[in-house]
Amino acid sequence: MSAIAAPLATHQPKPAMSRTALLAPLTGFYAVLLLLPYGYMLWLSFVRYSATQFYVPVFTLENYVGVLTDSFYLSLFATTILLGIVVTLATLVMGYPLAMKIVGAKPRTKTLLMVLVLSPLLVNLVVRTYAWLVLLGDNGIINRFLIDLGAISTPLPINRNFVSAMLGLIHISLPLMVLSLVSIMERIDPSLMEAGKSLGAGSFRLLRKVHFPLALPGVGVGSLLVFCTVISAFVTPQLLGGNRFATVGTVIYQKFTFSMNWPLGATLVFVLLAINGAVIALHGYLFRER
Amino acid sequence: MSMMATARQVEAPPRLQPQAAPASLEVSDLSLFYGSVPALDAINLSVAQGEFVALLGPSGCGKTSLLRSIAGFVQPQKGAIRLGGRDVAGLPPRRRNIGIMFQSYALFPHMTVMENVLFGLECRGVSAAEARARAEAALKRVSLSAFGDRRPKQLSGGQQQRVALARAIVIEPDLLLLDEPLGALDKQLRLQMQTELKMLQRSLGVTALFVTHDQEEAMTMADRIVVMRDGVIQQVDEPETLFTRPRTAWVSDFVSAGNIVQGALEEADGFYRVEIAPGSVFAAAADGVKAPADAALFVPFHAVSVAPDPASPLEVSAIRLLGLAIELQIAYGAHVIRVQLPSSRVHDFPLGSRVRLGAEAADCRLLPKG
Repeated sequence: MSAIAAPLATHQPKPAMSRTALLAPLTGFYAVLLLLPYGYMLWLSFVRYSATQFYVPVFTLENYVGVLTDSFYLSLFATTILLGIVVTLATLVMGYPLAMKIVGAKPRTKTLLMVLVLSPLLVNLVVRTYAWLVLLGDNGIINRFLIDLGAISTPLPINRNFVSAMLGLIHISLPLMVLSLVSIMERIDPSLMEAGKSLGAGSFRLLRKVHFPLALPGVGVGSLLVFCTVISAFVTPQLLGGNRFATVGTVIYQKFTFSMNWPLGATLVFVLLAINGAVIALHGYLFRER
Repeated sequence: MSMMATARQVEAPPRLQPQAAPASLEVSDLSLFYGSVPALDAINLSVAQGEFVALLGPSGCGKTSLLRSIAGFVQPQKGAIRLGGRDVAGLPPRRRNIGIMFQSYALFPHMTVMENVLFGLECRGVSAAEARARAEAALKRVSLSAFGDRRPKQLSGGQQQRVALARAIVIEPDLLLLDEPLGALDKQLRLQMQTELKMLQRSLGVTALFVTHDQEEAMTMADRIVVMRDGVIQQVDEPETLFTRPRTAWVSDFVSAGNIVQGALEEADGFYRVEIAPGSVFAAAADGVKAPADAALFVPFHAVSVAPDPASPLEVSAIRLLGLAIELQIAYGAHVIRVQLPSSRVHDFPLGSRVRLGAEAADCRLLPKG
């Protein structure tokens, strides 16, 4: 009895140990390349900025107090969050019917539509963004066309502002929304929709009472991904917003480069991170297992 | 109200009814193509008010396509579908007033049992109080009154099935469609549900059409059975008739009605006969058969006479117990003749014993091969 049990007992811990060992390189990678810089940033956000010495190593909350009381930064966060909400809603409204179409399509059409939806991700971010400049500029295709047509006399305000940044961000985040929706919608039994139809439901009721509630987890994940991506975005708002439009992302960039105020930049990073954390927590709460 | 009216109609003595019960469902010349492949080929079917009809056939025979065409989920390219006299072929599913029980039950997982049953009534704009009362009555009918607040996930397969049924009948449909309704249940529960479903359908007096590939289930439940193959109706008959008088050799094989004796047919004295071995001959009257090459000899299992004969080359190759009966299988060439006998005779024909076979010509028939 014990003769049989003994080798078992000595053997069992082994796989657990080797599993830990296998995780070690990845853990080390993250520890060094993620936590270390973040730790440094966190520390920076609690020291005093100095124009001459870069920073003075004294612990202070003045960076956070400054950001959270200054109306410039508050309205900056408000604008960025509004941008996040608008882009999230826009991708949801556009992505939902598209995702339904993809899920319902025949295999070949489905593949084609998926490639088209993902295509923005296959083009370099900067190239893609400049393409919007060509379209939206004061002398861009849209304004030129409308002016030549006589429809407008001065260019539409669609360049280097909220609208242009919004359009660019919708473009890059639509695939995130559509992919999230498709993955959930594929799990909705098509006979549920047929059951609804046979019971007398029209398209709108079917959508509102059956499809949307069942697709809600996809809406949640998609919105989370899009919102967090948008409020942290830098390249797109920087290029499309120009000097006239700023988001938290572009201001952080300025703090770290032009104004060399790393403590303030780091503070903005962590306030933004806190907002993202809060949104993720809210999502976790709304979609908790019941 | 209309539920009661139809129920009374069914219980009424036959002489008060019009000579032929009005057709509740009339399918005429219905053809459906997927690309160039015909899924349904000129289907004609008439179902009387209150009748319970089974669509039986192997997978891919078109039974589900027919059901889905009637439901309105697919659009046949040709033909008409009339429901209680009105042409529904062009109507969307929601305007057809058909109750459907899906194979997967298709209960809305995010709604309670009560909300599921209420759904169809809400779509119809029934007032909240009336809807509630009707939903409760429907749940009571399927013995689930106490389960209204549960979610489908919290119910057993059999209970989910009843909810699906309650949801389908609460709207007082003109037609009830059931797609392999009992496929997912275990055998014990399936037998019980067969009886319950049949009784419920009869008491409601609702016309019902159900799809199955299980011939036993079709036999147990249906008033009439529609046998389909490759998008074509092979035979429409009452279960007993289907069993005793299959129209083709294929139908006989599919429903296991009897033996199709393999071998060359020889004509003699107005009979066609097949000799499967010396001394073992089957024959049937040749009436109406023109080309014996397209015909097959049908012998019901119980009509085969079997006698011990040491001189015969045929021997009992297998014995199956079927409750009160036994089935002997006698191989000849690559084929088998099946004989059903009362189980009291099990000792007369041990495995491997030599036998001679035959049958009364009157019990045998020539069928098109189909």
